[in-house]
Amino acid sequence: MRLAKAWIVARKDFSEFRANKQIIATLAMMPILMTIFSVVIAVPLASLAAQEPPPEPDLHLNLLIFYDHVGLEDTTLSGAWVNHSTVLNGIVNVSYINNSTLTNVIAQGSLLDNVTITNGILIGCVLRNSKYNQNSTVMIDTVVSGTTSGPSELYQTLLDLMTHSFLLYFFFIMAAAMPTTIASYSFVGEKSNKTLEPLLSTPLTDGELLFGKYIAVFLPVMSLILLAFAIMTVLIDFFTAPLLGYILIPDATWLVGVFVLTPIICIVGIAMNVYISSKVNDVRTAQQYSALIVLPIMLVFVIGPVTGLGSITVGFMSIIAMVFLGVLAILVWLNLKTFNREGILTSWK
Amino acid sequence: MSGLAIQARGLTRLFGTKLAVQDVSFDVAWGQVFALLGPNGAGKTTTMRMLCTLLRPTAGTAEVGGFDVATQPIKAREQLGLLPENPGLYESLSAERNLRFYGEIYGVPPSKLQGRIEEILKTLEIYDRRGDKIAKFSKGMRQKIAIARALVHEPRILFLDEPTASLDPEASKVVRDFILQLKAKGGTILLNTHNLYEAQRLSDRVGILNTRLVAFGSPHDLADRMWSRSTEVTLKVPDAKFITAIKALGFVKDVRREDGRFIVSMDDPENNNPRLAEALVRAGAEVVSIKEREHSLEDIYLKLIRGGETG
Repeated sequence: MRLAKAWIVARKDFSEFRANKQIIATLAMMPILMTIFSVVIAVPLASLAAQEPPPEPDLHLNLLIFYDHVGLEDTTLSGAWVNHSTVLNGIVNVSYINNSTLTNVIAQGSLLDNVTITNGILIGCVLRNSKYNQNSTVMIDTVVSGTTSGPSELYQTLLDLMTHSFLLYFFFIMAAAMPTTIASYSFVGEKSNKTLEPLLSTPLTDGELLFGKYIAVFLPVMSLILLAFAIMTVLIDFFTAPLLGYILIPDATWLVGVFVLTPIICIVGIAMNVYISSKVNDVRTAQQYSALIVLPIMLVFVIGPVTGLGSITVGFMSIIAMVFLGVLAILVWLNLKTFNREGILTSWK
Repeated sequence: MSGLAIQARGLTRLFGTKLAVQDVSFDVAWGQVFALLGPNGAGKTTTMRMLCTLLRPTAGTAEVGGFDVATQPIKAREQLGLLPENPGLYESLSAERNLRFYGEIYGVPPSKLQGRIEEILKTLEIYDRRGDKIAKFSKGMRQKIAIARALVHEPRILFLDEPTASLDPEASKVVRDFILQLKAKGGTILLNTHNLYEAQRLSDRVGILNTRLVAFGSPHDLADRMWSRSTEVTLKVPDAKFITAIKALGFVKDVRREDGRFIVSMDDPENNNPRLAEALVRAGAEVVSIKEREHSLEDIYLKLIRGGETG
């Protein structure tokens, strides 16, 4: 195969895209929205995750009674030090509860350290390193720190999920979806514009023609994706680094995702689109089929995390990349093997 | 390498069970313009597509520029330039960009390509519009650009499929004149047309196709094969008594009256017409004109298509 010939075909397609503002607008829309969306999501989350917990108030505990390893039920405790115990249906005033379980308890002005709360009302308390049910626990003027369901930890988890899974996931969607705009047009468009007959009468081989079409889609799509990634990274880090004190993206996951897996997904998408495009006989049908091919690609990234088989990590992405490379090899072989000049010329109306 | 530009032997093409072209054989020499004539659906475009390697023959073989279209398609395509029935230009690109793309595909050196594009566009009188998008061009202009595209790489053989179909008379004339220029420069052209005037004017030889090739040769040869040679005699007074005088001549095969003229069948009219004139004058006739009867391509075409093979 003469790569120079394929490059000539690709350059011609670039010229056509450049002349068609609708295609450019359609292509650019997704990365622009993605960039805006990512910044809008990440910055407030970073702001929430970076919140310092309020200072703990001095509770002036005057502990008069010590309970250790007991079960207390229907009890009102005042000035008590409760250690390794359970409290059921009780009221706790200005006490220190440590390593205990509280159920149906109202606590006021108390220090609760390393406790588990089910159905509680905490008023003016300090809650440290504890677990509580958010749905059944009411907090009033209560300071929470080091707690499983604490707000800043929650936001930090959300921020990690957004920036290291969700946003990266959208890059994979872009890589699979964006080629449909132009790749599905590649052969059907040539046919419907009656440009295919003179093109096929030139000394181009099937491989040169197909590879030219691959390049013509891959380069603009990947350029836009990388541009979106660069802008998104700069904007997110510009706004979040002062809040968090560290650079949020990129990290190894992002680098592997954007520079290894995204291009592979993009080429697989293109190969599928070109295959469809050379088999159907009008642009609309090609685009409808092309929209469907995004689904199996995306399914991989839904099934992985949902089934617990893998989240978007470097290891998981490496496995998927290998699988997609195998799929790509099959698709390229299929495209070359089933590319039928006669069929394209004679069976299309 | 073959001494012929195009050589077709028993070309046959089926689409499913439908026979589009059956057992077509012909040769086109270098520097010759060959017109394939036939009604719609006769297989002209299918034959051209087989020669341009766009369709594989179901049976038979063909060589273009000495290269087998089935086994050496890339080499064969390097020899040819194709003007399909539809111009098939990239509408959003300029005329120059369209030509540049095809020039590059055919491997025209960059140093030569610009000059070549300018030369063709100037010849076709569209150089001033080279930067305009094709979408802004009229049908005639598009056809000119499509011809320029077929020629940009200076092909050895040019295939023109209905080059003036759907063009207005003025645009048709420009295209025909350009083909005549190419012919004068010794270009080898295969022309598909159902315009008999065009075929008669442009081609050296014609093939009349109706799924099978029903006739092949120069228009003159075909007429000779289909009709015996004859001379039209116009007399001031076409009296029946002159028929006897004509029949008395030994070389005359038959005489009949037609629209007040005598049609005299004979061999070798070049030598016998003076003897015929002399005999008529001697018989007292006032001769207005004596000339060999010519059959137009239209006569030939209609007789073949309506009447079948000439034999």
